[in-house]
Amino acid sequence: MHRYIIKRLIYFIPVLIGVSLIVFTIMYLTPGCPATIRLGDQATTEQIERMRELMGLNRPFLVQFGSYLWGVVQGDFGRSLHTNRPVLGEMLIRFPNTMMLAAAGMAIAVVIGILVGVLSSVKQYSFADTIAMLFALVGISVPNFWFGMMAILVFAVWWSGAFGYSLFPSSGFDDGIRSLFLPALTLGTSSAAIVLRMTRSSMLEVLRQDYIRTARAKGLKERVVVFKHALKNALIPVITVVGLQFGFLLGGAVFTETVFSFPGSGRFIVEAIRSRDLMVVQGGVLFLAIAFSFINLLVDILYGVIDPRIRTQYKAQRWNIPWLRRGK
Amino acid sequence: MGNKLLEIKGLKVHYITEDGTVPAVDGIDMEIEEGETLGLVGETGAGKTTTALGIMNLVPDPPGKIVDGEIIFNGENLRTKSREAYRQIRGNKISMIFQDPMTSLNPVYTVFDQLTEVIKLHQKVGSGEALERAKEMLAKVGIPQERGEEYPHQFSGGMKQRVLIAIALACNPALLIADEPTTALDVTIQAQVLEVMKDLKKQFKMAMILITHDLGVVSEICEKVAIMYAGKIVEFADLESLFTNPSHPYTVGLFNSIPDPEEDVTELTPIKGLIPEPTELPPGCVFNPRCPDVMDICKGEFPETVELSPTHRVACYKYHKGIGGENK
Ligand SMILES: Nc1ncnc2c1ncn2[C@@H]1O[C@H](COP(=O)(O)OP(=O)(O)OP(=O)(O)O)[C@@H](O)[C@H]1O
Ligand SMILES: [Mg+2]
Repeated sequence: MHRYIIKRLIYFIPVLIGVSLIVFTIMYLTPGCPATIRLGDQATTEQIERMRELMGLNRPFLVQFGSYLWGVVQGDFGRSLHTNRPVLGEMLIRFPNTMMLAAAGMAIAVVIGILVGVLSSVKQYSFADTIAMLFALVGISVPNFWFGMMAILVFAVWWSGAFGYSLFPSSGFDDGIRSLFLPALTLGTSSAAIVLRMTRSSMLEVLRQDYIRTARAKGLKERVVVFKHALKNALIPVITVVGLQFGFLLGGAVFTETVFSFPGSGRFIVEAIRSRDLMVVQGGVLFLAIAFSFINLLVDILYGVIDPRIRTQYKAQRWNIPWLRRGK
Repeated sequence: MGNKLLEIKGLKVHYITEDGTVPAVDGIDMEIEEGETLGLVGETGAGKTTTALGIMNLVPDPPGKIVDGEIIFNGENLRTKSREAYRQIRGNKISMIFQDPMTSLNPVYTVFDQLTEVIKLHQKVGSGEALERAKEMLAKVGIPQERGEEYPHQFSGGMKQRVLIAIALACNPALLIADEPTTALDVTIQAQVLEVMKDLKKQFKMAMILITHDLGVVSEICEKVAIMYAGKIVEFADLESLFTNPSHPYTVGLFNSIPDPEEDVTELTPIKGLIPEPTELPPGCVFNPRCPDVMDICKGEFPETVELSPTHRVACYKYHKGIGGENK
């Protein structure tokens, strides 16, 4: 298991470089000169030229990327063009809120998706299954932000119109869990639908396996057969989906946070786009991308925990790096 | 010996599919005494596995249904038992080993997990005690104890089948149903596994239904034989009278289609024709289109069973008084 984790961590390095390169290239190709944005419209050509020199914008692309990457490794994600505050610090203030929102959305998605998915597979073609599949279809097709606006309309506007108070706050982050509820539900719905579908089809596949028949032949309760023997196997593909969805949720948080005026890093980036603060956009997107890669790393490790075949594959494998082998 | 352990009367198991109803088991009778071994022989699709699943009450539903009949085990009709009561019997009093050992163990649990699970379930012992018994069982099937910590994918096919045998026998069942336990294995391994089974059967003094295609294996292990064809048991006899006096034309055909090492003639006489489509069985005797001795009456109704001797019965018009050539 240690080998497996170490190996995953080593794979993480090229992933980070790749992600940085992509984000940097996109921002590099984006029209708009950071020096101009920083100085404002009134700046003269000489001033701009001096600023470009100062910001190192006249250096070749790869040199710029190298120095940016070197900064990132040291925790310097650049500075805002408007406030000159470090991007990393600004992100770190807001990211926990985004994480909390994404985690709450994911929790909703996982609980609903897996529970309903399992029930759906056990009662395939029943009325409940049909309803669940309908929900999945709607959940996947309806865009997040529309669902968010509907949630605000129903829970905040109509509800307070009818009963004189709002059930869940529709914006801000002052009411703790309660203010988290609507955005998390909004964010989690489509992921719940995807997790549900994946769980259902994976369970249907697993329930047909011979080892499930063996489990039944032992005289185990159906509940044990389903949750102990089938679900653990069925979760292997579901974990992949959950990991990917988490990244999607971090991205989706950008919309959801805007719709709900939620003080997270997503809304921060959207505001930066509006004010053309390229450095914040670049640093912020890179930050989210790294966070996403890191979550994928955790998912990979989780595979090893669930599936012994992956674990032992690494146990059996010998490192072919001599100095590492001697250490063991 | 001499006590009836299991008696099956008129058991019918049908699969209801889109192409029509498959009468996989269509009114069979058989009985086994304590400690006895019954060979259940027939071509692929004859309904052998379905019979076994019927006894275990594990027929996949849908599409399968036990339509009719009685399964009397230790004097009680199992068909009237509640699901809960059936669970107490399965894996405890009646155990089953399945056709394909490669896929019959759960890949995400260790061998010990899967073995102790059934012991804890039926014997109401703690984990420590269960582990001790699991180790004993592994020793009995010839697997080194320390390998119990491993996962199924680390075992060969023969060893997996041994593990499955250990699981099936862990609670000392009165009846073991072994569904072609060696078909999926290499020839050399087949002999080893059969040896283990023979040995344990003696040790545990249990009765066994051995499902097989192989009359050679039958002659080695079984005391009684049931010959099955298209959902019917066409001949049921003790080993000796079946081998000295095979009576149903289908049984005769089976014997003619195995090579006899003592004769020089290398030419075999396989049974002519193919097994009929399960949804379109011929009227009358299901074997009539392939039968060398077919008579007009064979195309009317399925023949009543005739007793040739107290331990030998056959369902064929040849032996009906006043119809067949050799009036018995
Ligand atoms: N789940 C199912 N749905 C529909 N038909 C089935 C199903 N399982 C078995 N059958 C049909 O029932 C008949 C008997 O099948 P069964 O598996 O009992 O045969 P078998 O004697 O065990 O054959 P084999 O030697 O190949 O194992 C076959 O015609 C088969 O096609
Ligand atoms: Mg079979």
